[in-house]
This record gives sequence, structure tokens and C-alpha cells, in this order.
Amino acid sequence: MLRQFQLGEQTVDVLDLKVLLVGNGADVPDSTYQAFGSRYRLADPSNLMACNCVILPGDVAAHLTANDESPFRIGISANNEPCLEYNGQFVTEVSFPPFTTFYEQTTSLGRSYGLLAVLEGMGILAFHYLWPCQFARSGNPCAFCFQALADVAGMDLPSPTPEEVGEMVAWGIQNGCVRDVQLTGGSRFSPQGECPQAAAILRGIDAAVGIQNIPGEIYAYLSAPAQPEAVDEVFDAGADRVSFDLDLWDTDLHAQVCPGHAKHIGRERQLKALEYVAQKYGPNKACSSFVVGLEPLESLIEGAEYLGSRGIVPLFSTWMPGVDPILGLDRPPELDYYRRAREAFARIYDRYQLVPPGITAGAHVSMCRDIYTNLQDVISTPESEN
Amino acid sequence: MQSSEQTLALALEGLRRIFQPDQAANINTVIEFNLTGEGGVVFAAIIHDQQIDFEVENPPKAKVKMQMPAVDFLKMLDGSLSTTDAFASGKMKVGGNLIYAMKLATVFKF
Repeated sequence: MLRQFQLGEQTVDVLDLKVLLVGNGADVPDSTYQAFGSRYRLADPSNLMACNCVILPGDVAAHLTANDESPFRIGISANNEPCLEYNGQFVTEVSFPPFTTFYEQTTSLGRSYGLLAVLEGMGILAFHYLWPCQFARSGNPCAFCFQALADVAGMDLPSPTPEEVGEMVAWGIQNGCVRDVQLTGGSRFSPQGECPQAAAILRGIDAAVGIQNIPGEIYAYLSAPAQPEAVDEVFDAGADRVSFDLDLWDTDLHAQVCPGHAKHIGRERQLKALEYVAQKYGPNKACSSFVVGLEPLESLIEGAEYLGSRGIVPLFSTWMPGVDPILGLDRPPELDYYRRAREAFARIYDRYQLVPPGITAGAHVSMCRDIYTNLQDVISTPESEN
Repeated sequence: MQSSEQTLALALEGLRRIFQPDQAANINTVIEFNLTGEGGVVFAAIIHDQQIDFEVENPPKAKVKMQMPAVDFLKMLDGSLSTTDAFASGKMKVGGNLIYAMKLATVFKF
């Protein structure tokens, strides 16, 4: 059974807590940072580029956006350990990932690691800005994407070279803070997708550290190429899996939320590439992420089932609301939506023997690993009773 | 040496210049600017109805708070310091509701 907590009069489990933290953020007072910033991987929360997480009981990592208006607060317990509070009441002791000097390092080109990549959860090195987002730059960013805000704001974020990616992966493995590597693209609409660029980066990693020495997996989130065979280059270069994200299954809603993606890539191209990978490389090699919370549960589950039945892993990414409403929504759905969604995903993982990517506990807003590692607890009732 | 009055005048003029009304359609909020060090000054920017106003004497409660050395803030306004470098170097510190702060970054064209 998933561990339960009390938030006022409401009883929630640890996966509920993750949803609520992703949606609300938490107040992280300076006293908390001063107490734990040198013991754990906790960046100064006043840095807008900080990518912090809190580790909830059961090794559930949850993204931590500093927000002094949130009912949640990361405080200091009576045992001098970090703790989660809700409206001033103690909820549970929590933790952070182990301390690392990763963010103090610079590449051979003199660029800060922190500008080029982030560490997520307990050992995921995510390259979040491999190249500028063409959707954002053409005025059609995906509405849920915080990365696109940087483009809209005119921030000229640097992109790492393959050699720099290799250096950072090597450093992370040698210093024990990297187990899985995530290449995050999915933002260009050239006919070849991003396959040549991703393959070049993989070769950069191989040259620096040897692909076979990655303790976990390497997975790449890419735009689907017009000709699916282009993805072979990515597998040949060492990727364990690729993800072509659908984000929403309902095509009308998808076109409203992701106008650039719908116009230049579209679902048919994504599905064609996903099914190509699943057929050529077998189940669990193709993945596709959904932003969970934006569309009706029925269409979300229909999409996850469609993919799962074809050996494609549907990924569960919790929607993190921003300021502008999306589809008229300015806050996440109720917890019951997420409980039913995660149970449906768990049943799909179970039914089709699907394993979400990674060997670590999980990422900051993605819940697939959390669902997978708690599969039987999430599948709370026999299917016949539904 | 620059006085607080000079900093304030340059800051307000600069913020008016880089304010992007079309990016502020859904925003009604207050940002506190705490410019520290030589020529330091505290003021609030009030964004409402796609306009920007300022309050120095009695700033209302802010949703987002930004703290930065005055000399570096003025460099950002004149384009000699990029926002990326300001964040990366730790010169710019942001408090309050950082979910909102990310959106507010789009309201000003630094």
C-alpha cells in the first residue's frame, strides 16, 4: 500500500503528494537552503534556473518550484532534517538527492554545466536545450512548455556541442551522480526530425565515456522524421529508446495546445515513427509522453491503450500549470483524475509488459517510474470491478 | 558615484522601454525590484491592463521579488549584460512565486 499522509482533513498518498507539489510548488525559505544546501543537491531557490527536487518517502522525486504562495513549505523538522509542511502542519520528513559539485563545473569551452543540462531525481542527466525550439521561434510554442518561455523572453540559451555533452556525461558517471541520460529535443520540424543531431550527440558521449559505460539508459525525445527509417541512425549511435511525444491524444485539443507541432509534425507522422520503432526494435523501445491533466480522462486513456497495445510505452508527465490558462484551465484537475489516470497507466504497463525508461527512481514531473515501481499498489482494485 | 535618484530614473525609463504589452494580456501583478549596492533603490512595478506603472513610496505587496546589484541591473537594461548571464552568475535573485516569475520574464524584452 502506498504510504498515506494527512493534509488537513484530506488523506493523500505519496503519488498524490507529487501531483500536488508539481502543481503548487513549495515555499523554500532561505533558512532551509542554508541548512541543507551544502549537504544535499539543493540549488539556491532564488535562482530562476535552479532545477530542484524533493525526495518524498518511497524514493519519489517531485519537482520543487519555489513559491511562497503555496500551502506547502520545505521546513526543518525537530530532528533537524528537511520536512514537508502543509499550511504550517508537519506532513513528513523528506530528503534531497546527494550533494554534488556538478553545477560548479564548466566545460572545455568554459560554459557552466548548469546552463547546459540539469540533474533530475536520483541520477538522470537531462540535456533540456539541445537546440532552439523552432515552434517557439515561429510563434507557436506548446502552451505547457516552460522552456519555450525562455525563447519568448528572448533569452539566448546556449546549446551544448556533442563534445560538451560527452564531457558532462563522463564527469557525472565518474562522480556518481549520473545513471541515466536524457536527450530532450522534440522541437524542430525538419524532414529528418532531429535524428542526425541526436546521433552526433550520442557519438560525442561514446567518444568521451563509451556508450556501454552508461550505468542506466540513454533515451532521446525527438520530433518524428518524415521517413521513419531516419531513426535507425539514433539506435545505431547507441540510444536505448526514443520518444516521439504526442502530448495529447485528442487531436482538436492537441492543435490548440501545440499549434506548431500539430501544423508541422502532426499525429500521423509521430505514430508512423513510433510503430516503425516498435516493429523493428521490439516492445519498450518506442515511448511517447502525454501531458496528463489537460484532456479528458477518456481520450488520455484511449491514447495510452492504443500505444501500449502496440508495444509503445505511454509516458505520464504531470502538467505543471503556469500563469496563462490552457484550454480554459488554470489549475490541475482534482486528485481523482490523477488517481484514475495513473491506475489506467499501471494496468497498461502490466497488461502489455511495458517498462518505462530509466533505472532510477524517476524524474521530476514524469510519474511513469513512480507508477511502475509501485505497480501493484497503484492497481488498487481488480479490473473486473471497474 | 551614481545616486539612488539617478538609478531610479534610469530603471523606470528602461523598464518602460522594454515592456511588451502584448505579452502582458493576462497579467495583473506587482513586481518588487530591490536594486542593491551603490545607487541602490527599492520600487515596485505594477502591471495591469497591459500597462506598467511604478510605486516607490508605498509599494503594494509583490507577487515576485527581484534582487540585483543596481549597477548590473542597469547593464541588463542597456544590453551589456544578458539575462542568461545574470541568472547563471547568481547576480539576479528571484523570490516570491517563481511559477509567475518565469512568465514575467517574457513581459520585458531585455
